[in-house]
Amino acid sequence: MTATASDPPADEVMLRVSGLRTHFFTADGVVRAVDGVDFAIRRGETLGLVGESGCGKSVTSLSVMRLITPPGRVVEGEIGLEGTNLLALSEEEMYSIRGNRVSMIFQEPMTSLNPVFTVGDQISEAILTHEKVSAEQAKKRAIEMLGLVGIPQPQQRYNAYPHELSGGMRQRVMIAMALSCSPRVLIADEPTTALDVTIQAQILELLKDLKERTRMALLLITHDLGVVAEMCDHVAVMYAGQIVEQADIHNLFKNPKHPYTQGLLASIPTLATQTDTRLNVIQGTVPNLLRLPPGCRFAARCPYAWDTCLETNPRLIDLGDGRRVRCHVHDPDVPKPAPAVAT
Amino acid sequence: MSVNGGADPLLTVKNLVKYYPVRGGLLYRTIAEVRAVDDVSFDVRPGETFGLVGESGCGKTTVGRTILRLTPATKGSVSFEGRDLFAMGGSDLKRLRRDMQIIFQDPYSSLDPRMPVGEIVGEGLLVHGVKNRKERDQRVQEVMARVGLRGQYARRYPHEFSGGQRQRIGIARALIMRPKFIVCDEPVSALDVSIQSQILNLLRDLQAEFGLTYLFIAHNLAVVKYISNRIGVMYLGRIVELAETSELFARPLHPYTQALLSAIPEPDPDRRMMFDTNATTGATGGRRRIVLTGDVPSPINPPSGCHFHTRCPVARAICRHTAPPFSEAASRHHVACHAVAGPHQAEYSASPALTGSLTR
Repeated sequence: MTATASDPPADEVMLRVSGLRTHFFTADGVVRAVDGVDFAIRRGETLGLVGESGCGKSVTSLSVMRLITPPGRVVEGEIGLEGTNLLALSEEEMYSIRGNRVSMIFQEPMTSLNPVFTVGDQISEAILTHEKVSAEQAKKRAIEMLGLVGIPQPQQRYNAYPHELSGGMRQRVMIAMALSCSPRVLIADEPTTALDVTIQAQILELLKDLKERTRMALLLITHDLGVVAEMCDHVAVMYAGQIVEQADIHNLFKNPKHPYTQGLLASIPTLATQTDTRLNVIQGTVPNLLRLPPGCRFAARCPYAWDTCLETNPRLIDLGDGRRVRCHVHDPDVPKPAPAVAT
Repeated sequence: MSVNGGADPLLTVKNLVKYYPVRGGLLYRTIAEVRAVDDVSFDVRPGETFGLVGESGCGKTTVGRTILRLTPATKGSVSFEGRDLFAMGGSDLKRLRRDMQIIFQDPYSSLDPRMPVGEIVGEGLLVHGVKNRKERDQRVQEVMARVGLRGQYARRYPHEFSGGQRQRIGIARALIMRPKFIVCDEPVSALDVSIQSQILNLLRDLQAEFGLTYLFIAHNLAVVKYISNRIGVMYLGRIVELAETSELFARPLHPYTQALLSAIPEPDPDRRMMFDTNATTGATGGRRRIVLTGDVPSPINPPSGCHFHTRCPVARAICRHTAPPFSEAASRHHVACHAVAGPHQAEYSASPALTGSLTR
């Protein structure tokens, strides 16, 4: 898909993903984990990529980092990092960009740190990989980074092993490592999901603060709509490998257009939920990505679905002001059913 | 859901203590103790849902497991319908276990992968003497239908089910014994949000239909608020605050509860919380977030005095050496904090403040 009129000027866009398809070629068949995803993030902006497990949000981020391994493969699309198409680069060229111009932090900081090296050495290594500095300068910078992410006594903690740190501290180390080469784009994949709520508050505050200071673009992947509301400027909602709705944060929460987004927002208990009401429920479960239905992937669970929805997959309709929705209800070219059928 | 405020409690937990030994050294002697549960008391009334919240390692799960005698208590007592659980043995205990069931957090690891779900659900019946296969199958079918699983699924294995369906299997397994009391240990935290609401609704329906009493253990405050009548907030092995749900959320008294409540990200961008760094504008609508510094201390060597004093924004010298007793600060609202209630309030006021450990 090409850029539409409402897209930001190209010079400001840090990351643009167009027509991305990442499929997994398993013994059971082709899993279309990401099946046509487009989005763009500008400098200093945070885009939230939300959805439930298996919707393709993590595969999208791994595709951007070119970390998809067989049986998975990016079969189509373009990933533009400040105009460079990452998918056209050689592995060596990608190696020099990964951790440098684009960085990533993962959900589980224990498994993404190497247990046999000190956290300081691991940060230094990232710096030495990408910059022509002496080991001493790298160490000095690593200590600075540890201080920047709020680790007390960074000098001593430089020599700590991952298991000596708490979950929150480890996530700070991951952030320090990811930011050590001042990336233009940071991808954070469920960065607080494994953390307790008071620690989550600390990490979210840290990410916000660092983003203000560095003006990097942030792609935040999460299933927690509370975290999205807290952190993001724009949101893309994914369902079964596709973006079903994209909007700025206020529109998405105030006036969701896609039935899935509506159902999702209505089903979460919040502090404001009346305790004597029943929770809204989205019936059924997500479709099997191996056997996707021919029509809309949400049709089987959708309260508004009619024949057309079961037959053809809706296109992404541009509603103006950066809002896009993948739903026949909002497509002016799709004839609507008689009211009786809709219920 | 009716809560019988005046009735005798169904379950009474008194001064419950559970220490786990930490062994080490040449002779594998006990060198330290993990104080998982450190003097916890509360009661659960018939028909109510009592919520127990806290962060990981606060001891909430251990409380649930100790109550069911899945792990022996170190000290304290638990009585169910007036009978002392810890003094009970043999057949009495077995009979009582029918009345007390548990639903686990992780529907993946709490089901035997080599057993068809019909047998998993019906196993309890077999253990409790329903030898007739036909009768067992009949009851399995009934209970599976009740939790929203098709009867023909009884012959399938756990891996063939989604997370939400597996949790329904776990609920069916608990329900088939026709229990009075169920410990729900993080029953929805492993599930996707659209599935969470299905399970929460189911738990509520079952409670209304069978008059169940729940001890609902979770870390998600919004979920606990939705389902509970009363809530106990735990921190490092102790309950620091206990009140009716509406009271607790309207008037949290303990500084830890206040921080916990303010830390939840709400799915509403207009109520985005303000941090110190960008609170200068005084924008409207945002809640002020209290960000606690530091981590939860290790329960192996918990802080002296009030366990929370190392992270507490209002801690004073007295908090370092004297543990605050659990006191009634308002009607049916208990809190363990010198600043709010208890016999040491005057002493607290006269006490010098500890250096600030908080950003507001």
